[in-house]
Amino acid sequence: MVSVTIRARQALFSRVEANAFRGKGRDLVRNSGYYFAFYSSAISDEAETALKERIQCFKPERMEHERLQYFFLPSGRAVITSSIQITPDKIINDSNERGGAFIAHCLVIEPAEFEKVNNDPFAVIEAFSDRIIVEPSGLIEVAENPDQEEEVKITVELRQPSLSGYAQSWPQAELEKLILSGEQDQGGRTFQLVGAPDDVEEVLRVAFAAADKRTRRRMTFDTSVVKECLPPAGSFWVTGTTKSFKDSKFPAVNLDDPKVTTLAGAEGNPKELSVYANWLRHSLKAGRRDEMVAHAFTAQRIAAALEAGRSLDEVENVEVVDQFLAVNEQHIVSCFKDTVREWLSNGMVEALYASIATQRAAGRPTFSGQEIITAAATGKFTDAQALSNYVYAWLLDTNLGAKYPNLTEDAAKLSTLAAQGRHHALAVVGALLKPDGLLSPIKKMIPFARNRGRTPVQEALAQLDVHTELPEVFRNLMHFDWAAPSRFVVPETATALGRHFAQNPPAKEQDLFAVLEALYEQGDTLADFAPHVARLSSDNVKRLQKLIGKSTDSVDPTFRQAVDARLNQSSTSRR
Amino acid sequence: MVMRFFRRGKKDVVCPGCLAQVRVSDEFNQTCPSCGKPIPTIYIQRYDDAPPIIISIFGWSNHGKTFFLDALRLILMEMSPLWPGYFYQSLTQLDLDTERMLREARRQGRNTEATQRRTRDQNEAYVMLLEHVALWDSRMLVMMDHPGESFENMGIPTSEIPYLVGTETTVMLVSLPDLIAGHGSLNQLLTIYIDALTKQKVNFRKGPRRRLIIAFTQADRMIKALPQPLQVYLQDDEVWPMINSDKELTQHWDEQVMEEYVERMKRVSDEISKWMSRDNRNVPGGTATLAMIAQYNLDARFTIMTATGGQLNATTDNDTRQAGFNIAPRRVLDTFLWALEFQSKRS
Repeated sequence: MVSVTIRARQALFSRVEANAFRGKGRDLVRNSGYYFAFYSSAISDEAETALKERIQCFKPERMEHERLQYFFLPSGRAVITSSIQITPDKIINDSNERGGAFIAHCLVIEPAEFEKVNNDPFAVIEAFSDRIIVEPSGLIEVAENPDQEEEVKITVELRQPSLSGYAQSWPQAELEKLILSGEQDQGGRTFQLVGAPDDVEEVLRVAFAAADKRTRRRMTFDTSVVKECLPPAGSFWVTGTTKSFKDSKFPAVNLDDPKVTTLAGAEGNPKELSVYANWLRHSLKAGRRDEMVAHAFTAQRIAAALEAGRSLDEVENVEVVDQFLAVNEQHIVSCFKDTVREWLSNGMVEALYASIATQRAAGRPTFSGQEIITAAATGKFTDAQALSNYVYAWLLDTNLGAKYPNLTEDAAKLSTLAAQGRHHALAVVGALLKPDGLLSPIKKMIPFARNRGRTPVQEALAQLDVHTELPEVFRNLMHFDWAAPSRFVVPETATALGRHFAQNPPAKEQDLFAVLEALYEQGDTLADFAPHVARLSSDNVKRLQKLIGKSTDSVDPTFRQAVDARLNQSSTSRR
Repeated sequence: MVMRFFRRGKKDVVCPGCLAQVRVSDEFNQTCPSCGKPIPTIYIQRYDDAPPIIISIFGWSNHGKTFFLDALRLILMEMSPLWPGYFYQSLTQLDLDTERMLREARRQGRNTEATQRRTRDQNEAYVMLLEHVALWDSRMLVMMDHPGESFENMGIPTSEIPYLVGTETTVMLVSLPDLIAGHGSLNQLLTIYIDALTKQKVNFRKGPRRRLIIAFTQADRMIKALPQPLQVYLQDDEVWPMINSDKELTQHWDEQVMEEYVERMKRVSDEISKWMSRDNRNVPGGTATLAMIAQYNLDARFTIMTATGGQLNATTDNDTRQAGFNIAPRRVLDTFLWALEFQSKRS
């Protein structure tokens, strides 16, 4: 359970006798009547105007009925109030001890502070409930200590609510309409929830649990309204009343038989819904009300991370994450692809994600939903190694050019990714796709080693040989049009390559020539390649002969014989 | 009747909510284009033959405005035995609800609540039809209650209280005991009133004179400080016991009785004026008030009342101002009768 401490200002409004407050604290009470017994100096202007207008009229049906209000001042500050009728004290409240007196205790919270509790007024009410002033003597105590009461600190627990009580009996469709109405423009109307105050509060709590924190800023309410104290239509999202009144701008929702009337078109464009609203609507339509309430917090955290561009730091419920991803796939995947595009070309990203999606659908996710969402949210694929692993596996799985023919465009990008992810095999692939062959990526491997020079590079390449990555790479590249390495740095690599190509010669003649040339230049005697000379054209044989010269030491005799035989064959043909 | 109405053409009425002039387009479903509040159908229909008498109530918190309005309604609801042919009819739901509430509150002995602040849109006028009111034929009484906090300081939000500027007759309710306890003076209240009208560009020298009824409330609490004639006047009011009597009344208040009653009211007003000019201890600022009235050309009348009867009915020395228990209002009707006098053809 997470706790957050926020700061709030206060105001206390009641029927007061001037004499009881004269000379106390800031001496705010100058006349008898309904006035503020106290308000924090930081909110003095607003207290006298906007705040007073909202709280000054309170006529509950029963004395024990508490009124809760939640609204915003023009400055953007959030206000949460609790009002309760009192037995007036003759000295403090009313010398005539007339009925109807009440105390309204107001908390005024700066927007940034309120955001810390996810704009949830009920969480604040619960946290502050034992400090709400409900007795006349409390007014005096606060008035006498203005400095102490100027600002209060409230420790709020951000709890996950449960669906219980009255709200469980609401018809699904009506609950959905009410919850979603919080984010819709109601055209200057205010819903009146007609029922017992406890039931009104219960319904509101469920609606708040389901709403994300941005929507909550629109869901203002007053739980106890009568016709004599009717606020302007549209000034609250919802009011609660025990007796309904007829007013077209206050559509009634009888809690015993709830029917929520929304304006035509108020649902808005489904394509423009926020990711959270999308999830919420999907959950409500699926009819899993309990799950919706239970998972709302998780879904809100995910949505908040996406909107704020930050990672999901906590390990979230996999089911909720996957459901959230599925409902908002278009948006999230689009952001995910944008992220991967930092590493790879557009074409490769599209092809890559198709593979990711297929594997997820088959229950073999390479990247978890949380990883995809985090990448989508942050715009960064922080685990380059994981991405390297996947890209390399995908390249092998798809045999490179089989499904993605433009791989050469990604040569440099693959190399960069491989370097970040310290993925040697992927580096080789990237290198092989470049015209300048292995030399470039090998040089890029140098930063991995502590020292610069051939020895560490040899060790790296030897490691490649040990893990048979290089031969595997070449084996998988059999049918791919790659630029043969023009130079090999170490004999061991050349040996390995020589053994590989001897077993798996390139299909194209030009590639074969390039391999022979490269191997020769690295010191290979080409002993294993004699059988393949016959495939070369006469021009390439002549070029080869020119390359190897007349030396008998650098080239294996059987290979030279094969070359000579091929040359004679060519001469005979011309004659 | 409806057909004759339309043949005569359009009709203008004053909106009881905001006092705007309204051209009636649909007497059965008319709302005021200025304040948006509905105008009762009967109000429109009876506008010519039972013209409205609109009373503006002005006074500080806890000086008895609500007590006065409640007591006045209780009396007016029950005046049928005294005035031949008279009856009372609520014209708005608010007034009907208030009527029920008052009867119930009186039956239970429940106290009136302190008037809470409300915005102009939240505040509604009480509109009631009074048929055959003795000397004044039929009238529609229109009143609006405001919390005393609205009148505490200069700069009254007159947009919130349209009656204050819009009506020619204002009732200023003052509780002298509370005035003295709060170290206030009568002319301060008048100053706030004058200031409000001046800011609304009211010219006291031109046009109809502004009419002011100064009613001293809670007179029971200072009965001994009153001049003897006023004590007698306060105590011998018979209206309440007569309308609440179980016995059939043998005497009605016909025109002659009412003429005499009004004459006596005038004498009492003069007596109060003299008292104000000489007893500055019990009427702080009284002399200054009279001077201001003359200076601003106000047509003023004075009266005293007790809406509860409190001290007059006390059987012990304990303060019984917590009324609702055995209330017996005295001279509450006078204020209303002065308003009728001011706004009738008789004036």
